[in-house]
Amino acid sequence: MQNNEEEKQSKNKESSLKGLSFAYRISSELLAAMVVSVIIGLTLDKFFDSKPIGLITLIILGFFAGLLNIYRLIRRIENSK
Amino acid sequence: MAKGESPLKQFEIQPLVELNLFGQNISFTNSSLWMTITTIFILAFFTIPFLKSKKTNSVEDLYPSRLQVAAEMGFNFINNLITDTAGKEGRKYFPLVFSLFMFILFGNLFGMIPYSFTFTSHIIVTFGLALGVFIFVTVLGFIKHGFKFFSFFVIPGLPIYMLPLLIPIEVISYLSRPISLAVRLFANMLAGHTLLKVFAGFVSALGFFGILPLVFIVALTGLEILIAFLQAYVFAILTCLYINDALHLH
Repeated sequence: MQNNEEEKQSKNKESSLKGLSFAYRISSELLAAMVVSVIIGLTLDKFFDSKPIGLITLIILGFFAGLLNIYRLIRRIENSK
Repeated sequence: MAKGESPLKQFEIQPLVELNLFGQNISFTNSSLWMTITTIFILAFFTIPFLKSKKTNSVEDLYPSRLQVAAEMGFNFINNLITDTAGKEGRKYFPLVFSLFMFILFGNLFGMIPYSFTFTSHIIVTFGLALGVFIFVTVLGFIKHGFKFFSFFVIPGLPIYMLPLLIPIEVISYLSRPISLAVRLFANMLAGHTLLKVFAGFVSALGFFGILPLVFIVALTGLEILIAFLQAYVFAILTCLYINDALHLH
């Protein structure tokens, strides 16, 4: 009885740890895409002197790129199950 | 930890030997010291067991020593990882993935020793490693496929009027790879080590009841060692996946 409970607890711990690393992966994917797109947007604005337009466009594109990254990550995890 | 000391003090870079080259600061710091220790340890770990077995000529030589088994386990682990993700052509790039994995793994593990320094908790270090992987993979793709490499950014079977929208998205997604690789390792290490020090501060502050955070720290240290391994593994497996992408495009 006690053994069973201990097993359950260790399993719970393991799954929460997996969830934590999963959360880190997803958030870093989204963050990275946004960082890259903001840098590109600001550089384009400096180059063409078109202050907010490049930044706004690239932020929208970067958000979709982040979602695409997350979609691919989840599909890979589902495939490997 | 002494009273009044910040939990972020452990990440401070201290120059041990001041060096200047053409106005650039290239001092030998505590970060470089721990990188050197890690490299020497890995070299020793993979040469000592194999040097010993050649000296004598007895029956005992037929049994591998414990160190040799440990070294071969690490070798096999990465070997299987590459064959599973990048296929047989990926085996050529074994040295790159293996040295990256070992460097990060032992760097993380040495960081768990009290009073040591975790060089993977600095984003410039992890970003340097990730950028190296990114440049290598891109050059590899161009060598293997030439200008056909650009077709990597085009999803097959897509209507042409969608291309102007989707190619920039794909390019951003590709450029974000080294940053996500670097941020993940750096954030895990930074967060874990800061959390450990914050709870260590509670132990001295709570007096007798400090035993509760102490128990928590013991559990957290085990968790941190697991994360140290997991992050090195994630870095290695993503390097393999990127090599696979460069070799086979879609």
